[in-house]
Amino acid sequence: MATTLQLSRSVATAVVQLDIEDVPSELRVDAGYRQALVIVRRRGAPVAQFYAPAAADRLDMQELRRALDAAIAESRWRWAVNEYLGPDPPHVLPAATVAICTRERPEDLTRALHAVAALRPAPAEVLVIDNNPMTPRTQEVVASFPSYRYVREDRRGLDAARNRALAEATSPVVAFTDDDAAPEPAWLGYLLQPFSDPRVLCATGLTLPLELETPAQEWFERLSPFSRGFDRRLFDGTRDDPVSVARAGAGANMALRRSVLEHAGPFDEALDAGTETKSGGDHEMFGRILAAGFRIVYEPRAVSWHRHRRTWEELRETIRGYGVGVYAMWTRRLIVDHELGVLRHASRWLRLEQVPRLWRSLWRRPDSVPVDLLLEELRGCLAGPRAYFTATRRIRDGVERR
Amino acid sequence: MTRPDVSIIIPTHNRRASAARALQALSVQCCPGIAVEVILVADGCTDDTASVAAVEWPVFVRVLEQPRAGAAAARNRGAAAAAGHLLIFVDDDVEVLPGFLAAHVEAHAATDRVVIGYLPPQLQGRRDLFAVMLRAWWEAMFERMRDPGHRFAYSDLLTGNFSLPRSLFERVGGFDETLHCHEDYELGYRLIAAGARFQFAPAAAGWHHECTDLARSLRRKRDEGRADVALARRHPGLTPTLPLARPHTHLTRRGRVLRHLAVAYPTRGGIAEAVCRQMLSGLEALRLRIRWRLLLNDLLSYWYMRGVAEALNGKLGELPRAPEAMPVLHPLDLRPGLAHASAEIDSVRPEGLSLRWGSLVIGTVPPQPGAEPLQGRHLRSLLRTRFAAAFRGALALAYGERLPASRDSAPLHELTRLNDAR
Repeated sequence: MATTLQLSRSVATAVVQLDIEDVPSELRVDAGYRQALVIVRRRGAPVAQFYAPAAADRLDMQELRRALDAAIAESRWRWAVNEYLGPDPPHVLPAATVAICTRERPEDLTRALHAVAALRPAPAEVLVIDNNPMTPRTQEVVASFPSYRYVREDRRGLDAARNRALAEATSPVVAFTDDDAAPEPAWLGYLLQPFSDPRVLCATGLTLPLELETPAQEWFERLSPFSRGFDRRLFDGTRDDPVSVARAGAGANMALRRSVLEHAGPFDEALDAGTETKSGGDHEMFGRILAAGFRIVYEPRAVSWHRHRRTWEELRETIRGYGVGVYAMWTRRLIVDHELGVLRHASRWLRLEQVPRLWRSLWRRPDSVPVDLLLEELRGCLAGPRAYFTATRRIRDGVERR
Repeated sequence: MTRPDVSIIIPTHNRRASAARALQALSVQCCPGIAVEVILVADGCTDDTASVAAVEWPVFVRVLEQPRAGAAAARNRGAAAAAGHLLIFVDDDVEVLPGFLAAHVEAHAATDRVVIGYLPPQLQGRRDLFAVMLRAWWEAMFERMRDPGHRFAYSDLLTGNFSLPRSLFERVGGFDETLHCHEDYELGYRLIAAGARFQFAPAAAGWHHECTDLARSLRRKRDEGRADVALARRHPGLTPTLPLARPHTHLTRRGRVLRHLAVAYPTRGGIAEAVCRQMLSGLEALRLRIRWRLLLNDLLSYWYMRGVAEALNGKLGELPRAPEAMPVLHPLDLRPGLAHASAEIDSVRPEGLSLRWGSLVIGTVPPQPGAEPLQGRHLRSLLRTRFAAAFRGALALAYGERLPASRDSAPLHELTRLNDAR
């Protein structure tokens, strides 16, 4: 299996892509890298990933071949069967709106918009939701893409922006991408395929790291990677637990059928970035979709590249934010939707993951997570329920702060 | 008026508002060059359903009234009065969507087709666990039929939205009027036996305004139990495909006890059933979905068995049995490729298959009573789903050691080459 990531505060990791049908005899990387995250692709589709060591300015090809063989051993026969069966009949894709919710990140947004411009098939419409802006910079960036629609949403919070996107969109499906992500040209086509099933209300894609240049980025990729693996997965509300939804993907790379508003309701505006609760809005929505008996499909061929936060400070904040968001979301699921399963999940996460991980870190076991990150996460969890109540009260009282 | 091409038949019983909604939706359908009549058969209606025809509809609407005789009789009555050469049967709780008529008509370009339309359930915003299950049942049924490789069977015929040529309907003798439930299955059996080709038309769609609740659904299960006994008596060959003959592995131990009570001690069974029904609402309040689902299954099977036992006077041994027959399996070697293997199935039209890769057996597709004979289009779907793992295994077994791992850009090219070398 894949070798583990070598983590130290001084070594960066190169992100390398490898076409399985055209493996070069040598792979060069910049001399500063001691290892590489190798993303394996076959006819465009991502099929595996592993870490390979680098020495001097190239990857150890012997090691790489061994890792490659191990990574694809199972899949080879699936490909053989697929090859025998030939291509699937073409899907009829629904028209789609691409929506980017952003706030004061003009450089990132420019890259995201260039990626959106390269999408094939092209979306029917592109919306940029500028969330509670302080400056006109976002509007200026969007102005250089004349066919894109700029919408200003003053209620703060990512979920308020998402609801606005669902309300403004004119297509039956809305594909969301983050301002710090860059989808590949084929992203939209793959993300729309699952919607030929009328029970699918949401599709999510594979998000890979754009770069792993700093320890903060490496640790982010290790602790909370966006990737949910390389196999397509179907989550069905009449079968799967609507509380454990993190497996289904993340909001940085998802598409929703607009009828989700009718079947599951809008996003909870007390959740996610820009509010006291920091995150959790996407997973809360996934939970309600499953609870209503509908489906979510994870489609790894819908690839988007995400630039993780670079500094350690930002990483700590992100990790704490995840802790806050998870507990805020669970608070809502418990109080509003009466999902008692939340209690079991919270207890299992604490007993089986959080405590053992902290124990290993405190004893400085090899490969253990820096203690400060784990403490940030726990601190976030403790603050979560209160953050949710504060946010709901603020929205109820209509107190908006800039 | 000129002689209509299409007759749309709606049986209804004391649902005036619903019937009016169905007419409203049908009347705005347009299909250029096609003349349409709508025949509303009021079956023992006491709510003045006939008066809906008093309105000036943009299509030709006729109302036939008859004393209560059941939906099957009402449909036959409508078909007998129909002038069109194509019959479309629609239930009164269906609100057809734009393109419905055109899709039905278009699908009949080939002869002797039975076209089944799509009925997405409309649950009026209900989100309770029962509504969730209800939607899942309906959608799962249509999802199966949406697969181009679906092997149609008698139980795919749904009377809520289907069409067929009048000549075919008359040839098989119409609905069996003595059945008050599963009369659709029974007709489906005779249609398939007569060589009709079933087809699913997703564009021939209509909202199905579903208002079934738990109590109604349990009552319905009891009717299905009775109907299945009648079905088995009429067509003993179908017995193995009916739930009454299938093993009870999907039930919990509680479910098996309930099933036994339903047959042997109906009074005690009634008490146990009432307790379980109370438990069901408790489980829903606690959002214990898996337990809720298991308990619902047990309850449904209890009522089904009650119906079966009533129809057989408690003597399950008197269940009609399928005539003994040795399954005939056509051996199919997959090595020449999918197109070749599919063509072979199309020329043989076998009842069952033995799938092989050379001398390796991948699996068996047993004959399926009441299903259409196998066609080439079924093969791809079978290999993609039911036999995917076995097929992978057979390939690995046949060529495993000879395939260099990371150079097999297209392993099958390699396989074919190895094949040829043999």
